[in-house]
Parts: sequence; C-alpha cells; structure tokens
Amino acid sequence: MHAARTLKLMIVDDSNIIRRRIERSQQIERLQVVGSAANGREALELFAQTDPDVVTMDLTMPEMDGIDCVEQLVALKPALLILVISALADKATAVEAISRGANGFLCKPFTERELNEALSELLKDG
Amino acid sequence: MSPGNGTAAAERVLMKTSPLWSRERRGPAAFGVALVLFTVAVLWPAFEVAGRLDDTATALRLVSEQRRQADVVAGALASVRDRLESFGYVDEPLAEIRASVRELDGLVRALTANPATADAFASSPVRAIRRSQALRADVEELSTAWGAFRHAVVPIAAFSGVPYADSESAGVRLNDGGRLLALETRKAIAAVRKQGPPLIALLGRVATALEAESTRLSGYLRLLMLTALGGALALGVGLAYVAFARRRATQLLAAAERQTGDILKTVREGLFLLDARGRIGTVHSASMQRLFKRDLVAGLQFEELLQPLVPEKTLHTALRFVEVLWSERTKENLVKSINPLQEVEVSFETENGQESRWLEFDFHRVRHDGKLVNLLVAVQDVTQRVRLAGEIALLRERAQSQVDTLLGVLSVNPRQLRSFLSDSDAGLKMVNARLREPARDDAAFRQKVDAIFRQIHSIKGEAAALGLSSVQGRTHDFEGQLKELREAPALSGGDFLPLTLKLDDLFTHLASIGELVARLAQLQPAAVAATDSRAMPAGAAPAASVSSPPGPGQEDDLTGTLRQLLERIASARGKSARLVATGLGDIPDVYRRAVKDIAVQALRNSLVHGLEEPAARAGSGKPGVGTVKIDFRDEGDSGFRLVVEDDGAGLNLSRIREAAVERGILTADAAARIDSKQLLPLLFRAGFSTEQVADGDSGRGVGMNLVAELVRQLRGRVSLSSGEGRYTRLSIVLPAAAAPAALAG
Repeated sequence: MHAARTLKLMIVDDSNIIRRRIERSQQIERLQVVGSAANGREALELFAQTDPDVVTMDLTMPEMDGIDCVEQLVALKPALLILVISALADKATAVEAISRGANGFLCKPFTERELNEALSELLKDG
Repeated sequence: MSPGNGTAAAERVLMKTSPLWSRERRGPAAFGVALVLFTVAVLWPAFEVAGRLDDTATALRLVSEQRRQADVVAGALASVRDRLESFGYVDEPLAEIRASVRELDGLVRALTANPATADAFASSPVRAIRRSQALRADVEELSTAWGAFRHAVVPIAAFSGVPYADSESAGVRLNDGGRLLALETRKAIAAVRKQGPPLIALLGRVATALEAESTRLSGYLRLLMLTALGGALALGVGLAYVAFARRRATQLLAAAERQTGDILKTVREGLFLLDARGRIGTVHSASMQRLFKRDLVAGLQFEELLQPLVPEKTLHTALRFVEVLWSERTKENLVKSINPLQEVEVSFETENGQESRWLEFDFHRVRHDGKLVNLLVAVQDVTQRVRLAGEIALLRERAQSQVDTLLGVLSVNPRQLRSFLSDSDAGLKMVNARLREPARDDAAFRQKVDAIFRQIHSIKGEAAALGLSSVQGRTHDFEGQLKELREAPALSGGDFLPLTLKLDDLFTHLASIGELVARLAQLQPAAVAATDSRAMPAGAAPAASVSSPPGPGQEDDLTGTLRQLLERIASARGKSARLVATGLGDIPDVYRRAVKDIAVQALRNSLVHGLEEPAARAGSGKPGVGTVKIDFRDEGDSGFRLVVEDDGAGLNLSRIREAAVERGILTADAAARIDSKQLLPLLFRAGFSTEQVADGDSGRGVGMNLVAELVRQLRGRVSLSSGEGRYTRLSIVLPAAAAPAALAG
C-alpha cells in the first residue's frame, strides 16, 4: 500500500539535532518531510495543515507530551504510521505510547542504521 | 506438563498444521463417496433386477405348471363320456375337470390382477407380464381363449349328483341329468377339441416369452454381480490404501510428536503459547518447571505466572505490553526494545529464603493464514549474563576509578595529597566516632547527621580542589544519603547502618590512594621527589628530596590547592577567573585545616554564585577574567582575619528571598519586608541553597553552614557583605588563642 507513492513525514521533536538527523535518513527517499514540530500542540496544528502519512514522535516535550499527541493524531487519522523516538527512561511510558496507537518505538540515542531500519520496518506492510 | 494433555494438543496442532495429514484425511471421505456411488450404481439395479427375475420366475412356474391342464380337461371329458356309456363312476374325472378349471382360473387371475395391489417385496407374476407389451397382449389373448374354453367346460364341472337311474323294470340307465351330462360332455369334447390347442399354444408362447425374459434378466444380473465384484475389489484396494495411508500418517504424526516432545523436553528455554485471553497453552517446554519453580503451568493465566515473581508495576506494564502485541497496529519488530520483561529480576520463595534470578522473555507472534492466533513466548534464565555484565561494569568502574585516581594523584602535588589523606583520615575517624556515639531522641540523631555532613562535605571540598574525582564522587553520594536522612520525618539508629558501608568504602578508597602514592614513590623516586620526607618511612625517603617549606615566589600548598580548584570549577562552568592569595603560607597549624575548609567553600561559592560568565562581565564593563582574592593576616591581639572576596555580581537578594520562601523559612510577606542585613545570615543555615540541583560543586546548602559551624567552633565571627553587581565579601575573624574545640576539627 505504501510501496509506490511517496509518503509525507512529519517530525515531532523538541531537539533540532534529532530533527536534522531524521531528515538526513536514507529512508527519506520514500518519505517527504512536510514539516517539524517542537511539541504536541504544534504537531496538531501542523498535522491539520499538511496531513502527513508518517510521524516520528518524541515523548517528553513541553506544552503537550507525545503520548497525548499520539492518541489525538490516531483519532484524527487511524491509518497514520507513528514511530515514537524517545529516550527509554521508563518502559511503562513507552508501552503506554504504543497502547495509545503508536506503531513502534526507537530508543534514543540511535545510530543512523537503527533509524533507517526502524523507518523501513515502519513502512513495511503487515 | 501432563503428557496426556500434551499429546492430544500436539495432535491437534499437527492435524491443523500438517499438510500431510489434511491430504490423508481425504482418503476416508473418498472411500465413503465411492461406497455410496457403488451402492447406487450397482447394488440398487441388482436389487431391482433380482426382483424382476423373481417375478418372471414365479410367472413362468405358474404358466408351466398349468400348461397341460387343457389336455387334462380333454382326457377327463373323454373319460366322463366313456364312463357314462358304460354306466361307470364319473365323480373322479369330474373332480379332475373342476380342479383344472380352478387351476387355470387361478393362473389367469394371477396374470391379470391389478399390479398395484401386489406386495412390493413379494414376488408378483403380474408385474413380470406388465413390463412387456407382447406378454401383456399374449395374456389378454390367453384370458379370452380361456374364457371360451371355460365356457364349454363349466356345465360339466357344475354337474352334481348321480347320472343313473336303477329300476327293476328297465335296469340301469341314464336318468335325465345323466342324459344332459352326456350331451354336454359331447358338446364340450367338440369345443375343447377346437379351443384346446390355441389355449395350449398361448400358454406355451407366454412360457417361452417368460423364459426368454428370465434368461435376459439372469444375464443382466450376472453382469451386475460381476461389476459389483469388480467394484468391491476396487473398494477393497481403496480401503487398504486408505488404511495404509492412515497408518503412515499416524506413524509420521507419532514421529513428529516424539520429535516435538524431545525438543520441548530438551530445550533450555521456557517455550509456551499465549492465547488472546492471556492463557498459557497446554503444551510447553519442560524447562518451564525449572524456570518458574512450579509444576502446573499449562492453562494458567500469564498474569498468575508473573504475579508472585515481579513487582506490581512491572506486572502491569508487562500485561499492557502483551496487549499491544495483539494489536495489528503494533509493529512487532519495533517494540522489542520496550519489552518490560526483556531482562527482569524475579524472586522466588525457597527453603533458604528469597532467591533472585534474572529472566528474559521474548515474544513472537504466531499466525495462521495471516491471522494472529497466539504469542509464542520464549523464556531464558539470563542470571549469569546479567551478573557477569554487572561484574564487568563494576570492574570497569573500578578500573576507571583507579585510572582517575592515578591521574588525579599524579597531577596533585604529593605534599598536598599527603596532607589531604591525613586530614581526610582524621575526618573519617571523626565520622566513625559520631556514628558510634549513642543517641536517643530525634534531635540527637539530627545533630549527628549534621556533624557527619559537615565532615564529609569538607572532604568533598578538598577532593574537588585537588581534582580527585573518585573521592569527590564517593563523598557526593555519601552526602546524598545524608540528605535523605535529613529530610526523613523521623530518624532511628537503623537509618545509620547504610552509612557505615559508605564509610568503609571511603576508608578503603583513601587507603588505596595512600598505597598508590607509596608505590609510586617506590617506582619513580624522581617523580615524587617533592614528597614530604616527614610523611615517608625514614628508610624510604629519597635522598634528593626537596625541602617542603615554599621559598619566596614559590606557592604554598593551600594556594596551590585553591588555584587548582578555581581552575577546575571555572572551566567546568565556562567562567574565567584568577586567584590572588596572600598570607596563606603563614596560617598557624591550629587553624590550617579550618582555614582550608573555609577557603575552599568560599572560593567555590564565588565561582558558582558570584562570578559572572565572561559575556555578562563584558556587558557590565568588567574585565572578562574575574578575580577572587583570599587574604589571611595576623592582626595581633585582635586575632587573625580571613577575607575571601570576588568581583562578581554580588548576592542575588531576590533569589535568596525566593529560596527562603520556597524552603518555608520565611513567609512571602516577611521575605519582602526584611532588609539585606537580616536576610544574609540565612545563607549560613543548614540546608539553605538557592540551587535546585546539586552537583559536585554546589547545591546541597551545606557549604556556608559548614563555614559558620567551623567559625563557631573556633569561637570566631563571620560576616558577609555584598555590593550588587560589584562584589561579595566573606570576612572571618579568628581569636588569637585557638579554642580547644578547633583541634578536634
């Protein structure tokens, strides 16, 4: 379902460095970055403007945290693919994010390769 | 695991999954269909034909039996005629005629009856006739012929009585009846001569036709039987094949089951399936018993398995995790890292008390035709791995700390180091003594904590000054623990037990540094040429040791220590600073330690709180490099004066007010009202800090309290003054004659 067309990617992370790193990922060939947001509230605004297919989401951010944001985004677009990219301080929080509708988790800090693998796994069918 | 259940379940699993089995299962079904087809195609026609054959045979028997009746009637009629002429006895031939008429009546009735009234399962001759057009015509003709024949014969058959009259006059002669009988008989003989042959011929024709039909039907039946035989043989062969295939499948199944059993018995991992309701499947590896120390695992809820082993929170997270694995949204490979049971410590009640092990749970989705049906869970005991990793980490930390210590030791002036070691040793002994001191009430316990805190903080300060990060880290942790005690609502003797462990560790660590220094001295006498000969064993003193008192232009130990501290903190905080120290070489021995502690604290405060960052300094028109002045001087009878002054931003009064309010020392109103003279003494209170997070250099709120406490013990006076944006000055006056308390530290 995702093989043919380019998918729109929204990056949600309050760190510039992380945003740059995700933008540089090789998987970006299949993904077109439509914007970045630094917190959950901005993410919802950006979502309304750009209607992305894929989202990378940090969990700990000011304004609205990632978990609430995941839940609201999934409610808005059930087919949305969400990869949580966050430090694994507490597994319960990470599991919570998945149970609210995120599709996968990538632990910070991550290597280039880990990021590429996680994104291609996210885009794989089934 | 119970083998019975296991076997049954294995069979179920194999039956479901093995393509071999599903192929073999078609055998019996095909056999059943063949049997039905065989019955319908062969046995039913055979049954039908056999019925017809029976009908035909019965009809043929009837016709054949009655075939000669016409001749019998003709003979009997002749006999009647002859006997009448000779006045013989006629009853016998008459009876014969009656019987023949009855028989032929019966035959014609049987061949012309309504077939619907016939019993379906009994033989019926009329059915045999009705099936053939020709036979039906013949029988109709027969019936007509018999009618004519019968018509001629019936008057004879109806005769009864004696045909003779016997009288004296005339003798025996025919009476009226006899004469009529004789007449009728003659007429009948003539009629029978005419009617008899066609009747006989018709009977023969019907018999022949029936015979032919019978032969045809027997041939057909034979053919059917032959077919049936062939079919039965084929079915037999089929049955044998199915039985063979079944046996083979059963053998394969048994072999597969044995192999599965062997795998499950031998594998070290705990393997089991979880269904959508969280129930553990009936088949699992034998090692489950060993891993979970329980016999009954099959059919248990996963929650029940985990609950006694892990903390509530882990259990909850684990169950949530299993739940998300059932969601098709979740990408299995992208949640492995957040598996809360990836490396989990479990504890078991054993005879010898609590036993703790580490388990690793791995979850894999099991799908049938793309549908998620089970989770395969693999459990491993990773206790050794975890312990090994822990040991490695510990060793690495130890090695790192040794390297740090070595580097620290190498960069420190040996004399300063010795002085630090002996001071710290004294300080720790003091802590040890305080720990052993009996205390009863909460206030006494709190005093104890405060006293220990000051000692440890002082050691930390000096370690920081010397750059001995391994000591600094340990004392920082120690302080952390003391801080927890300070904040505890109530204290008891037991709370101090963990401190003795920390203390031991510190003693050991300082001893190892001492050893290291001694060894270095042996290995590289030149490198430690500056070693204080007083501190060395007499024999080991290097011959060319330089004398310890610093000459003019040479820095004293304390100034060196303070300079190192200043450089370290300044670079860590991105600040630029220089130290101007005067008179530190002339401190009387009795005050040396106290002045050092005070100077370290004050210097640290200046660097952390006082001096601004270079940009800020430039903004306020100050030189980029900040200055901290430390001056110690003998003022004769009025005692000694120590002044520590920096050219920083001065004390942030509003921040101090805020902190005082945050810590509940002042109400917001009171804080707003009091002036700086009343406010500044707050800085000397225990636990007062304006920093939110403690690091190695600040934030525990103990430094200024330590200063105040030291000054109090020495019976001195301390004052603090500040000019906003210009300076902060700590001024201490110590009495000319040292108080005895000072000697105790």
